[in-house]
Amino acid sequence: MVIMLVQNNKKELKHLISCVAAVFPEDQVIGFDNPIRAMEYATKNQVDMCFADVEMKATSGFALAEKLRNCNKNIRINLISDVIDYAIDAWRFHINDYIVRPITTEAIKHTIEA
Amino acid sequence: MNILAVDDERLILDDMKVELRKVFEDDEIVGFEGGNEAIDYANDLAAHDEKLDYAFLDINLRGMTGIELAKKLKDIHHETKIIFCTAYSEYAYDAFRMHAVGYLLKPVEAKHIIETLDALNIDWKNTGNELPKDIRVQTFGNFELFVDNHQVSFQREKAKELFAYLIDRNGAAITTGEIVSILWEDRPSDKTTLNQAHTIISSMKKTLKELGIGNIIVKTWNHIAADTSKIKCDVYDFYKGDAIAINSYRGEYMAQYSWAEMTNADLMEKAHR
Repeated sequence: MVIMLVQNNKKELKHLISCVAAVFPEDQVIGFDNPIRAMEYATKNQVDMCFADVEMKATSGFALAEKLRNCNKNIRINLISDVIDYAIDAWRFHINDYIVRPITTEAIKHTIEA
Repeated sequence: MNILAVDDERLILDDMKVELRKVFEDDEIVGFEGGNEAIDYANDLAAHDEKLDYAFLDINLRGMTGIELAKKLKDIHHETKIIFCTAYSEYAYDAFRMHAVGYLLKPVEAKHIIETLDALNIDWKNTGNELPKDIRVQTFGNFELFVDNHQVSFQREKAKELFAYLIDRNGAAITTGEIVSILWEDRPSDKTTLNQAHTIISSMKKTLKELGIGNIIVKTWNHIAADTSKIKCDVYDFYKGDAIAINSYRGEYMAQYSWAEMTNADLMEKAHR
């Protein structure tokens, strides 16, 4: 499985990579600090799961989610935010899970438990 | 599939059931106004080894919140998929935390339910794929059920008898209490016999489901009936005046069951007229 992580802040991206890699030790985890690069990657490669920030430069997590779905309609998309305010929009966009920071290994585990 | 709807406003609950019926045409849809009744129903399903497939829950319930109810239902049926139906957006995050699969804003419409289920990438219409079968019931002489010309053997004699009784009732719904009085003539309708009746119902449904004809049983909460439109049956043809059916009657109707004597008396009278 290929898991894509998208997050502008490099330091937080690094933290996110370590948490996701801890939960998915067998899978390929790829991080992007630029959502445009992430989209380019998804058009050329199969991505099975994505964790993305809701608020990013150049695009939102929702817009990214739509584009990723055009590449792979079965992709599971999870969004990350500092606030709960976008949770209702996340339901509307059929987002798999909506996580509020701080990101921890436990939070990632909870996401895939359902 | 078993589908639960809970809303403490009767009219909204009724609307929700109408929308659910458009989506789940052949499944059992049960609605409650209160959380405690819903939990009783979930426990009852679990006691009879049945799954609760989907729960559509309002959040602002009296007594307990829909979120609390969802957790309790999940404790009983881990696999249940929870979809919240609410007028408010404020619980959207809580709904994610407890692994709900959908969050619909009222008024809930069938197309929104379908969108939500489609997004799950699962085959959610999993009971809608029963192929049409040739279902024939013989009541003259001994009672037997044939599916595609093969005689069906039920795992329990009483399950067969229950099915025979549903055929005898010609599509009319019967209660669990009535089943007890038919299957255990000499015993009172109490907790023990009602539970036994539920076991028999489950056994009968299981046999029919395995044959791919589970949809000939129509079950509502505490009532059960046979969908006679899907069944070819000699006694039904007899009453329609079909000459072949009338000629095939030899004075015996479901001969192995004593309760069938009532109908047999009627048949005998009509045959000699």
